[in-house]
Amino acid sequence: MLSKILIRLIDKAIIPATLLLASRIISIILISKYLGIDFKITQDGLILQNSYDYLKVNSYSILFMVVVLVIGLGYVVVKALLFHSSHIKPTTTAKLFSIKAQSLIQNSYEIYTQGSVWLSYSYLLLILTAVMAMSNLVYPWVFYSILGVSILVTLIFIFDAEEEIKMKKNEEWLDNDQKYLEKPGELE
Amino acid sequence: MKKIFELGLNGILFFIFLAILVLPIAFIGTMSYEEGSNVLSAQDTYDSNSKIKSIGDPDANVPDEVEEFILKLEKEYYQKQLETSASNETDEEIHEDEKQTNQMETGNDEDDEEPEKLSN
Repeated sequence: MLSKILIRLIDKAIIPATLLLASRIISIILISKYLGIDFKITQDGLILQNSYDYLKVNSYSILFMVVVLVIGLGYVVVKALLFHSSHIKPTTTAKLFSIKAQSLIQNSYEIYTQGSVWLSYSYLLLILTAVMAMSNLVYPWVFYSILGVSILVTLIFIFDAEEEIKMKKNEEWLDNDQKYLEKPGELE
Repeated sequence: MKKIFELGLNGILFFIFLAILVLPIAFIGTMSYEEGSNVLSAQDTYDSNSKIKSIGDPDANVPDEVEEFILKLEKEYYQKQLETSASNETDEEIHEDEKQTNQMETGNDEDDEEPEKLSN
C-alpha cells in the first residue's frame, strides 16, 4: 500500500514549487529590465555579462523568492494559529461559515503537512544562500533575512505544536464512556 | 515479495517528493555569468570582489604602457566632451564651462596622481 503521508506531501509540495519557480523566472526578467542588465538564455541556462550584474540580479531575485516564501508560510501560520480546528474560537468559526470560508478551518494533519513543505523550502533556500553568501554570489543581508524568517516560523510552529500536544494530553483525562449519552432519535 | 514491492513504490514516491522540493532550489543554480568578460577599465570603481581590472588597483598588475594609454584616451574623451558642449552653448554658458573645465582639469590631474600614490 502506498504511503498516505508521502502522497499528501507530494500533493502539498506542487503549488509551492510552482510558485517559487515562477517567482524566480519572473523576478530575473523584471530585475534585469529594471536595472538595464542584459542576459542570454542558452543551453547552460541564464548567462549574465559579469559578476557585478550576477550579484545584483541573483540577490534581488532570491529576495523576491523569500517574499513569496514569507507569503506562503504566513498563510500556513495564520491557519495554524487562528483557524486550527483543534483550538479555533466559536465566534471565528461562525464568521467563517457566514462568509462561506469554512475551508480555512483545517486539522493538524493538513496544516502540518503544508507547513513542513514550506519550511523545507525555507531551510533549503537558507542552505543555498549560505553557500552563495560565502562565495560572494549573493549579498550577505539576503542570507540574514532568510535566516530570520526560518527561525521565526520554526518557533511559531514549535509553539503551536506544543499547544496541540497539551490539548491532546488534556483530552486524555476526559471520560470517553458514551453509555449514558443520548443518541439522536433514541428518546423519541 | 509484497513488502518489497511496497517499499519500491514508496521509494519512488519519496524520490518524486524530493525532486519537487529540490526543483526550484536547483533552478537557482542555472544562472551564471561569463567568466571571460573581464573589462579593463580606467574608472576608479575597484571592488575586491569584482573581476574587473582597474588601473587604480595596485594588485591588478596593469602594464605601464597600457595605463598611460588609458589615461591618454580618458583625457582626449573629456576634452572632446568639453569642446562639443562649449560650441553648443551661449556666451554666458561658455563662461561657466570654462570654470568647469578648470575644475575638471584639476580633477584629472588629481586622478593622474592617484595611481602613483597607490603604487607608492
